[in-house]
Amino acid sequence: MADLTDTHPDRAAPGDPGPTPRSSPEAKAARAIGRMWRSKSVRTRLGTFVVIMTAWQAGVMMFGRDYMATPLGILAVAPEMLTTDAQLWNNTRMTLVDVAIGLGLGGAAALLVGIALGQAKTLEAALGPYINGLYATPMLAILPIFTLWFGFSEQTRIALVIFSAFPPLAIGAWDGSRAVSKRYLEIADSFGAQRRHVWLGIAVPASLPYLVAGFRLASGRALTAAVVVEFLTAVDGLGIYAMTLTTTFRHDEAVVAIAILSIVGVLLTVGVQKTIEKFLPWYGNM
Amino acid sequence: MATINDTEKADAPRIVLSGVGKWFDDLCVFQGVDLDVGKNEIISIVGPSGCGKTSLLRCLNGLLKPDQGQVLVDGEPVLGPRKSIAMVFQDFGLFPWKTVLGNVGYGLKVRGVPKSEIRDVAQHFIKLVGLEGREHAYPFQLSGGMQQRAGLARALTVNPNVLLMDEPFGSLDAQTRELLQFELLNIWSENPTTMVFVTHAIEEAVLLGDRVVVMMGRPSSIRTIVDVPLPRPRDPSTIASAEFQQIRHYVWELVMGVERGRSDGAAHVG
Ligand SMILES: Nc1ncnc2c1ncn2[C@@H]1O[C@H](COP(=O)(O)OP(=O)(O)OP(=O)(O)O)[C@@H](O)[C@H]1O
Ligand SMILES: [Mg+2]
Repeated sequence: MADLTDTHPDRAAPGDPGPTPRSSPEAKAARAIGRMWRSKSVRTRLGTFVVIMTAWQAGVMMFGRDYMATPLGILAVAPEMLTTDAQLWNNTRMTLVDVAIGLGLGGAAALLVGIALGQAKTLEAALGPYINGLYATPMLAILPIFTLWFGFSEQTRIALVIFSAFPPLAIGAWDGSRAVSKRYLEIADSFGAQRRHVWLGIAVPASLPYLVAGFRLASGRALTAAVVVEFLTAVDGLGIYAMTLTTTFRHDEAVVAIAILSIVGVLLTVGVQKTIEKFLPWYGNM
Repeated sequence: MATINDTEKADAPRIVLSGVGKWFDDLCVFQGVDLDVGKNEIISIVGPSGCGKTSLLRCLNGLLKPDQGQVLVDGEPVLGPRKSIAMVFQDFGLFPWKTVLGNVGYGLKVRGVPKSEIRDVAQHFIKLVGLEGREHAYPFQLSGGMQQRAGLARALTVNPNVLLMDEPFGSLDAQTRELLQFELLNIWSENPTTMVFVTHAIEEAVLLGDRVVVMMGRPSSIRTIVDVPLPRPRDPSTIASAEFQQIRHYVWELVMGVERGRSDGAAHVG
């Protein structure tokens, strides 16, 4: 695998002394910071961040009320909250576990159904309209039915997460597996590949870009679904916790809770994509 | 690679095409194709673009059904993809998500061969085509020549009685192409098998083939079959020989002459 990275032009920049053996962690960290600082995009991001935070701080100080969240206020409460607020982490865990379960179940089902739909014409004709219908159904509309079935409970949260995550990933897998190049199918055919080889070995990897796009949508919708359920059924979780903090005028704390949701969202979308790019070097070179 | 029971009917042809024709809707691509290919014979097919060479190969490996006539391999009609027939594609046809090892082992994998055996066999052919050390590279990390080496290795792993090659070197640069032609000849002499080799390059057709089939016309059919009685093993000195040049020129005239004759509207007598 070592030769895989050889193709990256930025690996061995001219003048780079290269990895010195046994360099200390401090030296490594210093070099990493130096590298980041030399990177234009990092500087741009840092600059934008400072501008936005300053504007926010100044805006609230000039025009806002004193309970409103400000960057400095958040900075003041965040360390203690993140280290000692057991409730914050309990709620985070409850929400995220259900999001993970829902995304996992919904995602696995979506992958199966989507790939099958794209590869089997009959199945597509039979089930396609329902998948499209599910995708178009507003998730909120179904929530009362779920609460009737499952009560004001965590099951309702999982159910709505599944319901929200399933359609976009199913449609992604469906589109992707329908768009699998005829070339690949012909090659598989010429070696006498059976259906299961084609579905798993070709349709899935060949539609990976579609799956990633579908997963991005699905994970965003999954988080939204979890928070919505908490708001409307008062099931414990990060969403309701943020709401409680907000209604009790602890807005700096509320922003910390909301930020955790955002970070998880980013990890699920960008993080998954980056991980795939790192571990599947062919992704993007198809 | 000859198996023991090949010797039973050693002189029975490996491939028999009789009156084969193919239509796409109302477009007749070729018709009346009759050809016997002997065991371990190499047949080159040349012909203008669009004359149906790829379609003919696809009929040979069962990806297409001929609308007329019959394709027999080892005495049995080809009705679908067969274990004994393997194909090498012009665009290499590697799966971008598989490493060299994964691609080369693909034919065995879909046959349900145990993993460890796939590894060994794939490794053997990877070495044979000169890709040792690149087993874990992905196609995008390989040059065209290396990708086609992998494509060739993949076809060889399944130990085919018939190896179909659709302009395998057509998209490579001249040097790589020449290199691979001779390597293919070497591999073939160590693992002889029946080969149908489609190409646009007349020199390549003559160098590799025991016979060169010239396809012509619209719809096309076999215009001429030229014998190539050059001794084997063939190597770079073969190309320099007067006999090679003579045959090459003869095939060239056939291909070009007929083309010119047609565009002039004048009948050409071969
Ligand atoms: N699946 C298909 N459906 C309809 N027409 C087709 C199909 N495949 C091939 N054809 C047509 O059949 C004819 C022969 O195609 P084929 O690819 O066999 O030619 P070829 O001799 O291999 O050409 P080239 O040298 O350019 O590869 C062409 O006119 C092509 O457009
Ligand atoms: Mg062709």
